[in-house]
Amino acid sequence: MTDHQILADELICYLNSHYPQETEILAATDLFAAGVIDSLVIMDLMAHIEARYEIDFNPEDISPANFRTVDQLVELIHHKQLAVA
Amino acid sequence: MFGPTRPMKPDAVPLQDVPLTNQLYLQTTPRGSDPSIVWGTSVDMTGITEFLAERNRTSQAILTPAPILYRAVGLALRKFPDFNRRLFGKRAYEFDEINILTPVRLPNREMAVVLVRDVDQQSYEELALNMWRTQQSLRKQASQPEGTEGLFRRLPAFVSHAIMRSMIWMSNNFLLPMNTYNANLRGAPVLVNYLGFSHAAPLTSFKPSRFGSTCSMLNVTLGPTNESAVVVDGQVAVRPIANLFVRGDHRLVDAHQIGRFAQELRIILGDPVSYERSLPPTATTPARVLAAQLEKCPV
Repeated sequence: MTDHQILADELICYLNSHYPQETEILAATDLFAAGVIDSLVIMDLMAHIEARYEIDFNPEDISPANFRTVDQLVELIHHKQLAVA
Repeated sequence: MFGPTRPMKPDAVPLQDVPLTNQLYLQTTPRGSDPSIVWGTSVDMTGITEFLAERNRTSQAILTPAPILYRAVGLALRKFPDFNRRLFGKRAYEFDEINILTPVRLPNREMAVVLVRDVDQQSYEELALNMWRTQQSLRKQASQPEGTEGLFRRLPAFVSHAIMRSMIWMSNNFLLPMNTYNANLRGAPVLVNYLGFSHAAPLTSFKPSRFGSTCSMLNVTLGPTNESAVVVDGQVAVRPIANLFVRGDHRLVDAHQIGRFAQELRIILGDPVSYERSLPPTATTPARVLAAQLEKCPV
């Protein structure tokens, strides 16, 4: 499995366990359409990601382009990790 | 650190402008009693749902119903300035800015109350971006053990409780400058609360709490959205509906005024596109026609 897939699976597991929906969240699930995204979820998810992957979000990162799917969120995390490295 | 006494106007509202019923409440409401009036109603969220689905494809910041609610309250305060007031002692004072307070839930189960200034002059995206910045900042502060909260908690309980009571008492009785530590006790007439978080039960009845401050005596709370049966043009239809609760205080306003204020909120929330920028629509625009059609309560 690639790093992307490993990271995506971890986030999917986190979302499905903390914010279960009627249908299982997948890597390409539109989190807005599925009703997963609200301000509490975003703050909680950011806190989890920052602690787990040792990155820092900027407020400007909280955009639909970054949070629409798990895949896009993984891309953001990779980008942040490269910036730190 | 210290600002001017704004956003308050310096003179109390003349007593001849205060209805006698309100004066009766002002003079006879004993300490600790509650002259609150809560008006519950429903909001058709079709407009907001479609607006967010479309706008979240292009916007720079994630938009939720919260910034739309903030701006709606700001516009309603502009139209109904009687609500843009607070008490000092037994006298009412008008604000000369349109600000709101909104609670922010922190990871450590604490709650912060944030002052949002000039809310009627900001777009939804500006409000959203500012709120994300604020929440990020508060979250990081809350995680630091040596922050203000951490130090406050180290004080003996009788000291910290005395400080709390003093802050409320000072804020309620003296026209002091506004600073960062009392902004949420002095800066706005209303607490706006969006409770549409995931896994929340449908909010069918709600009586907002109010602590001892005589500042934010108005409360606007919007609940989660659920598919509901409503009557449109004599036919039953299924629409996304959220319940809205407005708490006013009879020392400042009456039920008639609260009902009209709530209706204005329903109109604005029903048509977020028309109210995104400065000028509200006229009486014959689709927002007000739809509001008239949807006046019936959900089935």
